[in-house]
Amino acid sequence: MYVHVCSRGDVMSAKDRELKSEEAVKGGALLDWREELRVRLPRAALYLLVAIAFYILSVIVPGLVIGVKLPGVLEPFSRLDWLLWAFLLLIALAFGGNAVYNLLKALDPLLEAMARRMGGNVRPAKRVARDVAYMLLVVLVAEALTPIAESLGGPGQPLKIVIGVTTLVLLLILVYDVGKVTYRYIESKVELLIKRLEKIV
Amino acid sequence: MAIEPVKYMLVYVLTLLLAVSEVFPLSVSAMLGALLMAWFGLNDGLFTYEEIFSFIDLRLIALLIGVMITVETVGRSGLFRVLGLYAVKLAGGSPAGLFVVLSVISAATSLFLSDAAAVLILSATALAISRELGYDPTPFVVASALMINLGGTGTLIGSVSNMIIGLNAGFDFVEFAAYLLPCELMLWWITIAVLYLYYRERLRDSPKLVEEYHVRVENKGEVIKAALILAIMIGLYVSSERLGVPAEAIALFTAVLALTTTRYDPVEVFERLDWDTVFFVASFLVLVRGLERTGILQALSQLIYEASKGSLAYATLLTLLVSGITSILLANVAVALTFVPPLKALNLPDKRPLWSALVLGTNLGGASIPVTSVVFAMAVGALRHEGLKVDMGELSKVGLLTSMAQLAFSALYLLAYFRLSF
Repeated sequence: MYVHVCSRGDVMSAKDRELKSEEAVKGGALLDWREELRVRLPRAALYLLVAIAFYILSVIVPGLVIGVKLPGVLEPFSRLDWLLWAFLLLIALAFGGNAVYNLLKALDPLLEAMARRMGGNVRPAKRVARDVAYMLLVVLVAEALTPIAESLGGPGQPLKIVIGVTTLVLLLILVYDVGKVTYRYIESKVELLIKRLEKIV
Repeated sequence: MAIEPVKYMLVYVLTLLLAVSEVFPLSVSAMLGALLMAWFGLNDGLFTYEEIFSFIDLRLIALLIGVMITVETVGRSGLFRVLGLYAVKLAGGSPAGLFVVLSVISAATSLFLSDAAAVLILSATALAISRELGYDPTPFVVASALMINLGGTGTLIGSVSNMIIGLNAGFDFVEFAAYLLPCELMLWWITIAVLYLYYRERLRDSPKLVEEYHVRVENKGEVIKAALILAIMIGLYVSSERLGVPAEAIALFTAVLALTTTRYDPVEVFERLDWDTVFFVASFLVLVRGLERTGILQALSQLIYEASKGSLAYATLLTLLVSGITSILLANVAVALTFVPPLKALNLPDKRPLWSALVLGTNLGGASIPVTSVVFAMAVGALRHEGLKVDMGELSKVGLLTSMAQLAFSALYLLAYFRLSF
């Protein structure tokens, strides 16, 4: 039996994989998305918590060792507080990166479901054009809603923030989709080129 | 309040992107664009609420709807199908002869019928005949679609973009035809020659007999009535200037005449009208007129003027080239509506060559690639429905080749007809 190593690091048999993909097709994108969210979200949350914890440590701990210096080493590498701060921040960034990666992976099936809803499998160029159109739409709708929020006075301020944050999140999702589609397209072309070169060789 | 032209430009780009990427149909994309334009324009004090409605050219909408009703009623009688079948019978059984006759009929039918309706009728006829005689249907169907796109380039009512440009240029039916019909007729033969050269290997089957082919006219009375209505419409358009009756009034008159003298259910006729185009034109007018208020289109006009260095010949060729290329990717109605304000604003004494170039550019670029052309896409659909494998790359090659040949000839025609010099 052949085995495939999944991106999550789990080991899955070819048959399991086949069954899983059949299930995904039968159950539709929603099931796929829920499954992905079930796995990815707790991981992302945990990584984020650890990242925050290390960030807090990077703020507090260096303060406890201020003044301690390592002899014969150049500034700022000789300062223990700086070294601790850099080390802890690096760990926080690594965990934060992992959290973002898991969140993006959880987004993948959602994006696929969205793309299917927006007209099935379309060519990469059309999908990118659609993403750009949606980006423009999001920006312009936000621009159109801002005067309404401003006219509300007091409650308008938080509403403006909500509009801004929602716009930003939607833009990030769409930019990610553009990047992913472009990357896949280029990857497929490169693979095609490699296969051709292999044939020639 | 300061006006931000970038915002308005983005609304325009958004509308085009939504339409090109088929997120929404043409009409809905334009309606969304018009809505955003109206909202921003009102907020920025660019125009008033009442002015928004004045942006919609009611004369143009009346002309569109009038022609659509007349053509829909006439088409229902089966007149065009009967004419097509008779002509095919006349061509005999030679594939090359059939190819030429079908191409000419397609272009001639499109002079009066909407492109979509003409493709439906002609591709069905081409498929039925080629199936019957055992010929490869691809050259016939492709030629039919390309000739349908070309047909109507030379008449005011031949396409929606022609109506938009004609009304804005102030051309009547005769003046419009005088400038452009000779070019169209010459383009028919150039296009047929290019297509024949391309498909000549596939048109070398030995001729088959077509004697047993019978044309049966079921509702003779309706066909004759339809032919009469069509003749009256053309007669009125030709004498419109002498009568002092504008084109949209003739369109509405013939629409009422067609509805009252035929027995078709008017509700059915109204349902079959191309409302997508009507709403698209009305909404896009709001978008373009709004954009005009920001000064962007005047800047574009200035750009054309500067690029052409004040020379009418350069400006004409530039208009032909830019409108032709943009029509490959965008709906030609959108291109026509966008180019009208900058051409109107151009500071040149004689703008007839420019309007003619815009007509030719918007019409000829329209069927270059199957992905963006409705007539081409419908022809591909008909071939696929017949179970034939369609090579989109090859079709794009044929489309681009004919478009380039047509645009090149049009450039020479405009220079010669209007005696333009550099």
